[in-house]
Amino acid sequence: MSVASPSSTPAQGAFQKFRERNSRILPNIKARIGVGLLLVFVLLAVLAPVISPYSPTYTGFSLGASPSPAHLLGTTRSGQDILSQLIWGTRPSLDVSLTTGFITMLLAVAIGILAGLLEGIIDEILMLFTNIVLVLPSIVLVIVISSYISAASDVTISFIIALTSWPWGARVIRAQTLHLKSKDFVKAAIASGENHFRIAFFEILPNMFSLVAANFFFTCLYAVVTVASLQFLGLGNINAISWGSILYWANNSNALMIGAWWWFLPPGLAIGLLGAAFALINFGIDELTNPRLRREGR
Amino acid sequence: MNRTQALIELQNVSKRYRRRTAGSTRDTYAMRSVNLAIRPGEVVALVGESGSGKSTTGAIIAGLEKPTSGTVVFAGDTLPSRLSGDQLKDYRRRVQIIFQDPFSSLNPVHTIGYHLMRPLLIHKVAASRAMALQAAEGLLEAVGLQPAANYLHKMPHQLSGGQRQRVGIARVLATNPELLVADEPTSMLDVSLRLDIMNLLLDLRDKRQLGMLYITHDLSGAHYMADRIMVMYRGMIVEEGLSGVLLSAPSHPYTQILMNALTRDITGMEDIPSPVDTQSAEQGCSFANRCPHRMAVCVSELPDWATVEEGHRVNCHLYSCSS
Repeated sequence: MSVASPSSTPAQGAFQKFRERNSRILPNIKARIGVGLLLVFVLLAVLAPVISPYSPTYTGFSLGASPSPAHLLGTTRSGQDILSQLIWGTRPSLDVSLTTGFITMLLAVAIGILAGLLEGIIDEILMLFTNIVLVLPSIVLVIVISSYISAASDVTISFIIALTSWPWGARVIRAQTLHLKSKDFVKAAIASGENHFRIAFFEILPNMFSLVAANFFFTCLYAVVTVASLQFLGLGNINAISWGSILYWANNSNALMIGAWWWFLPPGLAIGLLGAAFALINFGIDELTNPRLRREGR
Repeated sequence: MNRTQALIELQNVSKRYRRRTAGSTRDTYAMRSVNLAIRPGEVVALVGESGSGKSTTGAIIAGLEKPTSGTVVFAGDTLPSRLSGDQLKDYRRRVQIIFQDPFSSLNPVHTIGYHLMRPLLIHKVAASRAMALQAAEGLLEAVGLQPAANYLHKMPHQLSGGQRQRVGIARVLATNPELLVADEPTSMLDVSLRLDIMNLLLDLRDKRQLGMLYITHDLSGAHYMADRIMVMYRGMIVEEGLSGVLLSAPSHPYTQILMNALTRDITGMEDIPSPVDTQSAEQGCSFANRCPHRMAVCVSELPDWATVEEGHRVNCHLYSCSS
């Protein structure tokens, strides 16, 4: 890259330098903020018993109190401490999103790479199946299934979301596999005698690490929002403490109408911030895993 | 012709690509009854324009594509239509290919050392990783990348095009092959580097008695590299001969046009129609639609081989009619 061609003016050179420096650091900043946010939530979840001021299920406080030094985020109308609920609610939200992301990623990678590598009839059958699942209305299906199973557990909901959301990833990964398969370095690896397994997992898969990771974090983001929506609708287990169920009870008690912002705003913000964390990591990963942007000596 | 046994021989090899679109199939012939032989230590240049089928020929020899019809004879044995198991592994070890684009022929996520050690380990040329590492250094030195230790841990994107192409050549040498397919190895490189790479290949040929198929679109490069030249046009070999002989008296109209283009003698030369607009002539000569000397017979019948002089044959009706 011609950074310092003799014809470029000092101003252009400075601009080039500025761009170069920022293109290197900015993505890392995104990823760092994302990872930082995620770590905060992980810490909250892990340390919930230590940092939570009260038990989230204890109902003996004054009803519907506004924020005060004793209850930083007030209390619910059944007399629970909202801050404690918020902290404890981090656990199921993280659990569900990461589990869903992981299951979805496994399904998408397995089906995508298999279909991409084995052309012909196997590819066609897999893609037919993928397209069928793709057009299933995922949200509706999740709602139907989770209302059918009364008080569906988090793991059940994870599986339902994962089983309906892998096709997007699988299609993208298949397309990328087809693209990479036609590259000379894959042909060269075949010509040097590598077997199918190594072609798939050592030559092709590492080249789409960012795609797979993006798929993982995108599904996590999707799962956080979907689970919260389900619980807000009163599906799933509304008696378990989670961000979605706080919102459900807040809505049930007309928190919005009475202006109890301390009840519905914090869980909403938490859902948004966790989603933002996943999205930011997603952006950052792309740049970090691109070997051309990797700095020497790392 | 048969002084020594040919290393590889293609006999009447055709390659058809079939494209199915809703209801109709369209066939494209990348190779039509190609006959070709390469002996140990011999460099055969395959010359032709884009889409002439020269890379397909290389891919078939390298075992990356399967012929639609015809037979491939390697070191005296007729290969089965589907190589597998130990036989395939053995073939992969003995026949190697260098790719045109040094920027896409190395996996961006692996180090140079990894690229060189994999074939050594797959084919058990090196017994352990430590030995493979040592052998990889030797390979880098053999292709002029010194000091080798500096390159082993580099990623492909840290090297220049010329350096990458040398790595590509080093990788190919890892298995100590007998036959090399070089698919336009210099066309993506700076002109100043081309001669280096060509000389490196010739040097390796001399040292290891490699047979080589040198695929190029450049007649002068072919003349520099090859003992024999074969000119290919739309899947057919149209002319073949010892390089000096063929180039001093190009006989096929297509070769003549190529030569004229090279010497910039364009007087009396007609426009060469684009190869894309010509419908694949199923019965006639591939070049009929572009040929300045077209006759009725050219469109209806495949031409026969005619010997122009000792060691120089042409596949054209102009010559078979007169003889």
